[in-house]
Amino acid sequence: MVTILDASIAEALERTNNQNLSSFLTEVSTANDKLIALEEQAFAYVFENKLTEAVNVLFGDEYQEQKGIYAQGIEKFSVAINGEVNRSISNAEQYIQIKAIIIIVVLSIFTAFIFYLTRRIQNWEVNLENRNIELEKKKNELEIFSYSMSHDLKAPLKSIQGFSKRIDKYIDKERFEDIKEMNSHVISNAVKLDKLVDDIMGIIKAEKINDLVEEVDFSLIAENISTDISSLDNIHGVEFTADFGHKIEVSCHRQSLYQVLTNLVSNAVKYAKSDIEDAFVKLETSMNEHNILKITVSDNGIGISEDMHDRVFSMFFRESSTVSFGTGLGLYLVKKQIENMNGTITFSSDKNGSIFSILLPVVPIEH
Amino acid sequence: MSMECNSILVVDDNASDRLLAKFAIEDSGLTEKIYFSNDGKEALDFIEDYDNNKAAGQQEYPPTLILLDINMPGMNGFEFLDSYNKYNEDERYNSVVILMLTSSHSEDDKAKASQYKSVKGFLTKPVDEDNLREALQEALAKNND
Repeated sequence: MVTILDASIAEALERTNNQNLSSFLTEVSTANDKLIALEEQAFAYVFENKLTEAVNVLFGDEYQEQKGIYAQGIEKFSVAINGEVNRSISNAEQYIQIKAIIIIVVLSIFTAFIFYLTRRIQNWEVNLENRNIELEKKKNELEIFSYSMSHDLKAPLKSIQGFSKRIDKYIDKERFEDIKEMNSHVISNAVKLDKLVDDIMGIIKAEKINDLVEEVDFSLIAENISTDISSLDNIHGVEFTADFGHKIEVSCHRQSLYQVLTNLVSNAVKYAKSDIEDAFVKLETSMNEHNILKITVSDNGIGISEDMHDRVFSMFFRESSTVSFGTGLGLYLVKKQIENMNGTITFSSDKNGSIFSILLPVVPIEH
Repeated sequence: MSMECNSILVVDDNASDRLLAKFAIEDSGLTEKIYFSNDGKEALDFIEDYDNNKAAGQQEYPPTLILLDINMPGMNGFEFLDSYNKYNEDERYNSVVILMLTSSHSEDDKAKASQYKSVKGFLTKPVDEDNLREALQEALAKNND
């Protein structure tokens, strides 16, 4: 501060000398010269013992006049100097203030930048962590998949192999009843293997949705599902109804949605109670104002026991060992397909039946 | 060393494998008494009913051999073994041999199963009378060591 002020005063003085006060200086200097000349004259009179003349010169009009000019000049000079110095001090203060503001602005920008960088790094870290979690999940899925594949793919093959050998042996012994029983197991194992391969292909495809978004007429979907489930063993005891409230036509991934609904309805039929007369499976839809389609598949089947609820959508989940159908990949595939369509699936289940609810963003078709 | 069994309990959720085990046991001549459980829980109930069965004169001894599948819905093979551990202290169960049924040659499964005192060996599916007798013989020999 002191250094800046000193420099500012010096600068003010220099400016004063060079510019504004040069006229004052000329006046003062001229007056000074005249005063010196008059004083020298007065001294000369004194040396010549002409005291009266000397007094007349020093108190004469001209001397007084020049003295006035000199004094005024000095005064003006000093006022001007003061102004310049004050202006310089003010400039210096402004300079310091501006400098402080610049420093504050720079610091703020720097802090904001650091804050931004920190946030970005935090975001990256979160993204990285999410990616890691996602990768870890994929890795676990893959491990479960390969482990279960080695078991579930091999199991029906091993059974077929065992039955074939034994059938060969029993032909010689003419145990035809046993051969017949074993042959039905060979067939069911071959069918199971076929379904398993289909489901595995389904999972591989579900990693990326292949079907395009297209118009879906739910009454057609319901008709197709009806046809599909008509071949199921216990369909005769189960009533399948599709109730859409009103005609719903939307745009979504038709093929994936069809597979999902067929899977859910088939499951509901397979796990229907065999000892009741009014076994039902209902497919219902409703649309909310945000173009979210709600699809429910409800039944009054055997239900899923509560301790199994957190494993329902896991790979190779099979609810019951006594009543077990399918490959154990169906609901896993359903969830994957729904998620790929940006939807969600939840369920509630007890001994009175199950309700699977799907929420799916769709584009309604206006006619 | 007698290979005869009082009874054999087959624990497997797969109907085909149960049938194959049934034929193999019948043809091996080890026993005529064959019991089946669909999962670990049913098998555990069967074992726990032993005293009741014995009182009713239906099941005089615990099964000599348990063929136990690993992958089963509900209670799997390992979960069954965890619960079965309490019988290891019961001398009536000293002679019970448990053979694990596997359809794959998973070393992890084998290593894990080997940690259970009651597991005496492994039997690879499909079960037939030859590999059943062979595995049982090895297990009994190990049991008598």
